[in-house]
Amino acid sequence: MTETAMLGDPRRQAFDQKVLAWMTEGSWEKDDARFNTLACELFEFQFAYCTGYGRFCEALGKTPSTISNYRDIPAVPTSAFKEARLHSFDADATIKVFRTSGTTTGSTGQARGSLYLDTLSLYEASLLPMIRRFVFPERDGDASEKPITIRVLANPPETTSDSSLSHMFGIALRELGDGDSGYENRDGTLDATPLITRLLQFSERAEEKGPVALCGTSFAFVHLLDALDASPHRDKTLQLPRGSRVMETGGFKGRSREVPRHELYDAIENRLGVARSHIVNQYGMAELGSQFYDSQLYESIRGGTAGPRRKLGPPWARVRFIDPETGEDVASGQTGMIVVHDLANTGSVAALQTEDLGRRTGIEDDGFEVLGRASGAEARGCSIAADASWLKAMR
Amino acid sequence: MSAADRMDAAVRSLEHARSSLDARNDQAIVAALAKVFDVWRDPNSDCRRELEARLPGAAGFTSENVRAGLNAGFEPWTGDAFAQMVRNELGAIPEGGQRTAVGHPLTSVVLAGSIPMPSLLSIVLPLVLRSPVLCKPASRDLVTASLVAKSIHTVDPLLGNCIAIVPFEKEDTATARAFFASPCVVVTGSSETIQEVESQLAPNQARLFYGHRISIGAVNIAAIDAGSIASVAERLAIDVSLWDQLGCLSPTHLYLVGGSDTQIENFASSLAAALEAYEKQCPRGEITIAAAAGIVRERSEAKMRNALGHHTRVLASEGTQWTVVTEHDATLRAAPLHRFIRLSPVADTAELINTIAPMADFLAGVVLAGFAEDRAALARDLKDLGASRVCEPGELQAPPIDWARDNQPLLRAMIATGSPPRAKDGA
Repeated sequence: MTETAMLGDPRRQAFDQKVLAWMTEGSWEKDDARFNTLACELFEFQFAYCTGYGRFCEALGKTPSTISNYRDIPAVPTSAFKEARLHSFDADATIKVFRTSGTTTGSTGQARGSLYLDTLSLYEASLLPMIRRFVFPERDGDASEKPITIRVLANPPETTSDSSLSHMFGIALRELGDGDSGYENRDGTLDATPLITRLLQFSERAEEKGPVALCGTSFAFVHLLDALDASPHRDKTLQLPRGSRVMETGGFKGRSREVPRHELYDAIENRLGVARSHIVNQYGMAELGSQFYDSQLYESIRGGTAGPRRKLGPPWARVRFIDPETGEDVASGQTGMIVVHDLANTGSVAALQTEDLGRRTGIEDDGFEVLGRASGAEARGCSIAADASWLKAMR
Repeated sequence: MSAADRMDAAVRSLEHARSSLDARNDQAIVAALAKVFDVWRDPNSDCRRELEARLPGAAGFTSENVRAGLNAGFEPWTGDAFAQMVRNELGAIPEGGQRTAVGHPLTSVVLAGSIPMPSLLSIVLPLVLRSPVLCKPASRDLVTASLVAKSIHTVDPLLGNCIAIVPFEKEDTATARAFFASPCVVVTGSSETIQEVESQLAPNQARLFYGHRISIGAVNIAAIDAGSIASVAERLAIDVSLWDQLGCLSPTHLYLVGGSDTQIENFASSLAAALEAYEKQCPRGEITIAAAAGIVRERSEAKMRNALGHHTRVLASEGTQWTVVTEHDATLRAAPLHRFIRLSPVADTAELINTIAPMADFLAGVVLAGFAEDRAALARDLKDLGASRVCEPGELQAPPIDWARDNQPLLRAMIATGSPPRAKDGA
């Protein structure tokens, strides 16, 4: 059933244009009818062309002829990206491969999943309006947009070409960063000493210096704060320029230690002088073309009705919360497995079952919160759950 | 009174209780403890009935599963079997005042999980050696330890006075310090827990650790005739389902040795039917959404492997109650537990041994079916690899009382050699 899509398949190109048009028209309206039409159209294409996906759907009794609502489109587990190359284009057309961080593993213990891309246009068109809106909201839609100093606590894309995060930061720097922007990693790890010196300078010149954005993984911030505590400046309280912000993403699984998010935010607020309202968490993954961001910076700056801190996404993506026992959407406010339908994933699979749990929240349930991993067995016995980390240790 | 003060008071009380045993001879102590096992073995005893009533609510198992698990687990645990185990380990028990062996002045016992039999044994064993027991119950089961203490007290109040159940939070470091100051420490738990406890112990403290383990099965399906497949599957379904697959003797992977694709599919279907039937008779308990999501994810991954052209098959209940995944290879994959079993083909017993060798350090039990004349050699190889229990289908969850869990002696490791004094708190 699965065919090989031809390079430059006109159906795919036409579809990409429709999604690109949505991404660039600046509308944030949740247009359910438009989303549903495009999602079903994309499903038809991916059912036919994505390696294995069609057979997966058929085995579940789901085909394009039986589906008229995107909620019925089968979601593949993100771990499947560790098992196979899931792309709906000719393999020769691959121009980019993003790999997962390697801190999570599939059922085989294989460390890294891969997203194959034949175009970056959708990926970039999706990420830019989102990062503008939720990390740099004062510049969202402002034609006189002024660049900002962005310091990235991650590798530059030139040295980590398979990191979607580095790629995203690269785009943010290119489009939004000023001349003082740059990367703080050297040889793959955070070079904390010059970063601390730089932060001290920013702090001392807070009055004249415009706001600064620090972007990186959650663990990079832990590393920075540890280094600050171990440095001769441990007793200094930094106060980054007014309006400075932090964008952090990712978790701690596989790291030497975990820090609860509220503790991390307390430390960022107290040690770096960045207001809690200006700390933004991003929820994303290498397998997804779109990302989701905390709402509160956007709401605090753009005014209007403010809700609780929650994740908000673009109109071309939908997040659902599924009851694992029934496969149905859970009721509002109840916890479920997070499933994402992302129209930016035209080249692979748009419907993904993540390894996370979450629940809908916010103003008329417009957002969601991530509650952690669907980790598996409870500690009711002495059997090893043989989870991914244990399997990895076996190898 | 703070938790740490309560701990100190418990320790003082246990020291006093220990001295009250001085007048007892070993035979009387062993006889009293043997009687405790007979009491627990009786499904109509007060302690059994109370445990059956309270454990489901405390630990999340269904009443049917608790009853079935206790019936199976206690069946071979007679008082006589217990006394024989003591004799096997310590030698003949003298009739007079002579002591066979003496344990430490105090033993701290950390329980884990909510399967009652190991909890009972962990509390009783130090008492054989006259060592009072300071017991931290499992956070998921605050019922069993107290009932065990009560049952011992009912049979023999002096021995019962030698037990103090002291629940405390992991984060309560002051109490933990006092608890782990005992001259002998016995811990059941995950590798992380064991590592954490070990880091707190002084070199002169005796220690006995029981880690989390994995169990598996091997089925020589080519050698099992079609008429016997269903009964083998039924017995394996019991091994998988008792205690909702959460015990270290719960098999999570079955390796199918030899056999054609058809034989493998038939066996998978039989096992699925047996699990479905067992679910009706003995339903699985409630599980968290995280655990259910883990099962769904593993099912989806297997279906995806099938879609990618591998010979993988998923047979499952409508909800998450049970799952059989037939894999196309013998790669060790995640085990989300809660009645989720993987069937993996291996060509022969040599491949079986090679496949499970990487998990040797964590291997507990192996159930074998259909090996006939090859069984003895295979069992020997498995024991050499590290399996502490090799048995027939349907028996895995009912080990004899002298089962050398983690290949460790039950009593000998707790005998004091020079009986070190109780360490000062913080030692």
